[in-house]
Amino acid sequence: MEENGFNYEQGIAELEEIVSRLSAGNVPLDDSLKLYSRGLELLNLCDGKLTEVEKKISVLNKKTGEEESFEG
Amino acid sequence: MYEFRDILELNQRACTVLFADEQLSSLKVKGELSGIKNYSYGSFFNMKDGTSQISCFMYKNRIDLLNFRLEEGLSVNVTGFVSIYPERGSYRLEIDTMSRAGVGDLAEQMRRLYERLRSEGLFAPEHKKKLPLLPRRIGVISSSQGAVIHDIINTLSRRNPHFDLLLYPSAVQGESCAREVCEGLNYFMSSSKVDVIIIARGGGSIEDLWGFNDETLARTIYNCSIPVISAVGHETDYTICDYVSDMRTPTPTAAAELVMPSYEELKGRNRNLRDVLDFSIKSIIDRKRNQLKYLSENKALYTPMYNIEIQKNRLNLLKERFNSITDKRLTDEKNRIGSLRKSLALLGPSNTLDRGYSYIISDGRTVRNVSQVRVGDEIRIFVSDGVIEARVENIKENE
Repeated sequence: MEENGFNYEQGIAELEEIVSRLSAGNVPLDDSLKLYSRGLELLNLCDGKLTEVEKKISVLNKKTGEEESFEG
Repeated sequence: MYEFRDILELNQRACTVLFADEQLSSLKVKGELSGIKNYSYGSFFNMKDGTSQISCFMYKNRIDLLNFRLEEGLSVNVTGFVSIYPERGSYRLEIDTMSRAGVGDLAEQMRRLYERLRSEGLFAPEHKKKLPLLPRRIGVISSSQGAVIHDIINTLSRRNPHFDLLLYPSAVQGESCAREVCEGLNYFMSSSKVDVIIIARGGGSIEDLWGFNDETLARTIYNCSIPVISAVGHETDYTICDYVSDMRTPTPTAAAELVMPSYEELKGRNRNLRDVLDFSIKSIIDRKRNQLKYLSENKALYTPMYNIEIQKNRLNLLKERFNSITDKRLTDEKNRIGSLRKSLALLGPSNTLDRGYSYIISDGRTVRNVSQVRVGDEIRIFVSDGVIEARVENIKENE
């Protein structure tokens, strides 16, 4: 389930790592700015991921192997 | 051919036949209790062994005599007789007495399977896979009928409007249950369409859930590359499927809650991360700025200007010290000269001359006695305000 390169879990994990490094405060300024902009990029990607999935409910038709919309 | 008046008469006749049978009218049998339903007048349940089952009824007043409670899976020995309930035409065992016969066969079977699989490490916590934080697509293996799938869909919808669910319809009880659930797992594994799987079924008796105590199913779950959540039965029902799955939830609703984080929570978490990120970078920049400010206020930064300033000050100081020393020396000298001058004045002749005395210079020397001059010598007489030039006319020496 990793078709378009960005994984939410990894994004959040990297983000938390960045936040903890920045909070520690001993990062050189140039690196801090790089980390910060990477952090913003990850946040936007994560936010995007949250709404990316369209609500869809399907049921597998075992005879045809097709997925059919499921209303129950 | 006998023509019955009605069905009731038919049932009553069948019942009479059963009652007439020596073995059926007074019998003893062993089995496991399941599907217990209690009413004020008595309890209905099934008795079951490995192959067969029979509906049973026991009156409340007889149950009250027991020193144990009727429980699912309990293995018992009973005495009673077989009858037909005339209104329904259903055949059942009416129980007079009941005694416990140790742990039920099914429960015992499950326990043995549990022990074997556990010793093989199928339930080991370190083998459990982590659930995805945000599932992109959720696979559900369950019946497409009934409340379970609806509970799951409703719960997912409530927590997050963004979800994608694929249901693999499967029998969830009976002999095909274990096989179909395995097929579902294999389908999801081979198609890579989902990133988490929920196996769901409502509550039921140990027989109803028996398919989930299947060894092949347990091994399929164990080897499944996708995380599996077991949501089989109610809170108190445990199956092998629960133990081997990566996560067990007491109900299908709980499984849906577990698998899908609340959208608001995720949004809130991202907002918090954003705030922390902003705060961190701001405080780093503030700190750097303060460092810079501190440095810029430090005079050492202006070398060589600062050094020149220092040297100037030093020089001024030296100058002042030098001046003050020199001044003192001058004053001292002046004072000394002044006092010398005074002493000189006291020793000199002018004071004496003022008082009316005079002195005589002859031949460049001060005249102290008469022998120094002869008659006719030119002499100079000094008085306080001038000189008198004169000639010696007579000399008288004191006697």
